[in-house]
Amino acid sequence: MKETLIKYITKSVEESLWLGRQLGMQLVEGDIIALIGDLGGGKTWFTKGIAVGLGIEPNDVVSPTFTIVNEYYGKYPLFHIDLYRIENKEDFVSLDVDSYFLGHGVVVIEWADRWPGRLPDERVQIEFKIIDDSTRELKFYGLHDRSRAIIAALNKKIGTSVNNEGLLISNSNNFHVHKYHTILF
Amino acid sequence: MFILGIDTSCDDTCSSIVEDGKRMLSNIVSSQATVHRSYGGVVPELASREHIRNIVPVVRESIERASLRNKDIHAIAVTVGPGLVGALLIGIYFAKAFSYAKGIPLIGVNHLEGHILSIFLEPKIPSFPFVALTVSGGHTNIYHVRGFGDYTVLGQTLDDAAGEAFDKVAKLLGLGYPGGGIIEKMARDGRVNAIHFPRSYLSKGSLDFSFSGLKTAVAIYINKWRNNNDNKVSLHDIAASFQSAVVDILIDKVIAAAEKVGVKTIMLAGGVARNNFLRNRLKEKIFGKGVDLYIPQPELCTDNGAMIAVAGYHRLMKGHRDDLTLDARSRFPLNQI
Repeated sequence: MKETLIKYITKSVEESLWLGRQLGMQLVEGDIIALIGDLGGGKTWFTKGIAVGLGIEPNDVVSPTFTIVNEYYGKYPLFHIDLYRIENKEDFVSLDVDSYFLGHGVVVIEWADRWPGRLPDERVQIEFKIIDDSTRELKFYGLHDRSRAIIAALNKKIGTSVNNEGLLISNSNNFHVHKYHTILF
Repeated sequence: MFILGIDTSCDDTCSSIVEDGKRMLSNIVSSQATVHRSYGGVVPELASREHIRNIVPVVRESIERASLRNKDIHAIAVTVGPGLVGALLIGIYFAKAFSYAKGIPLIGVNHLEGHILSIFLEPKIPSFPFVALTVSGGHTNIYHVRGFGDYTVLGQTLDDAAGEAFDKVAKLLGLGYPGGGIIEKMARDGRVNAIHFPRSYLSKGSLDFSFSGLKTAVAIYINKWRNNNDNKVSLHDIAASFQSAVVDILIDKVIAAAEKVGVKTIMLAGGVARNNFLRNRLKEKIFGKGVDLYIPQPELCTDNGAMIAVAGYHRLMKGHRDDLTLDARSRFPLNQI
């Protein structure tokens, strides 16, 4: 999975939330979003944005590191999975996480690179990189029809341009930066 | 009245006997009990199988240590949430079977209510109302506690739990898991003001918490620190400065909460409440302000069956009982009990 479809730079938590919300608005049951990146990349707050896009109360969305899976209910159910503490295949023995792929809701997986074996191909993969204290780079990948369609819809909504590496890159001016509370409510 | 309390919401299988909602006759936690643990590397609460292996010997030991027999138990209380469903179900199904076989009441308990009521196992108990801070690897909440069963959430974490921040920073520093005790120990030889990590208070007057920004700041700092090989700042300094930031936020918020609702009693619970730096700093902060502080002994701060038995006792006294349809609830806010 190496086809970069778009790269976004967010300059604050609020921008990441807003971007997450725009993505969340495109999603339906069965969609899988795989999040990868360093500790502090902003995966949980981005997921909070996705949840808002699905009509879920943002304060309900917290890190699932401890519980492994949090479930929230909005327009569709959101299954928020975190594999941070997963260190080997045996940890999965009694987890039954595969059952979340049956299409009953939107699935967001933090630390998706710790998934043992193969994640479903039909997924949007987002790689987070810390640029500085508040700036994050988010690279979206998608190989199959549905994941490309999600990314295309997002592009259309936000507006993008092509840079000299041939990457689609978001134009920061098109980001509608709001105060935290106006994004959430 | 003897109540058997069971908690399988987390790492350990816990069982306890409590008499009349206050006298703890036994308190068995699987990691301390003489229970064989077959594999060590597994994230424990994921391993429902481990709870299955532990539940019978742990319960049996709790009854034996209380010098009781099965027929002496008057009621059984069990955690129904919040927690991982697969783990919770083991305790719940055991409790249902026990209740059915012995014909005794079954009471489902919210894990967080258990933490708040753990203080009633101590000789010195608070009077209502009070403000409770429950802080652990999975939770960071402030409650206004007006009576048994009467709780209002005043604040909660919007991202990471405080204990989770300890665990993640310990891992970043290569110190192992769980992180709370290790960080506290390292911090003893460090300077609390060596590095000023950001303290997120969110909007003015908010009693909610956010620890992900602090965790990120520490992660970024550690990366730079590793590359610079800065000898002026030690690993101990990082641990101390980080711990101090977490503790400052917790203390400022819980004191603000008490002021907001006009109560003079503060109670701490949960695994992070074992942290001595937190305990001592809070004592200093409230000194001379006429505020009373209640913290359970360390064994009662971490997850245990005794606190579940206490909560079960008070629910039973109010006429509450559950039937065999009792089910696990992964998310179970305390205002929904």
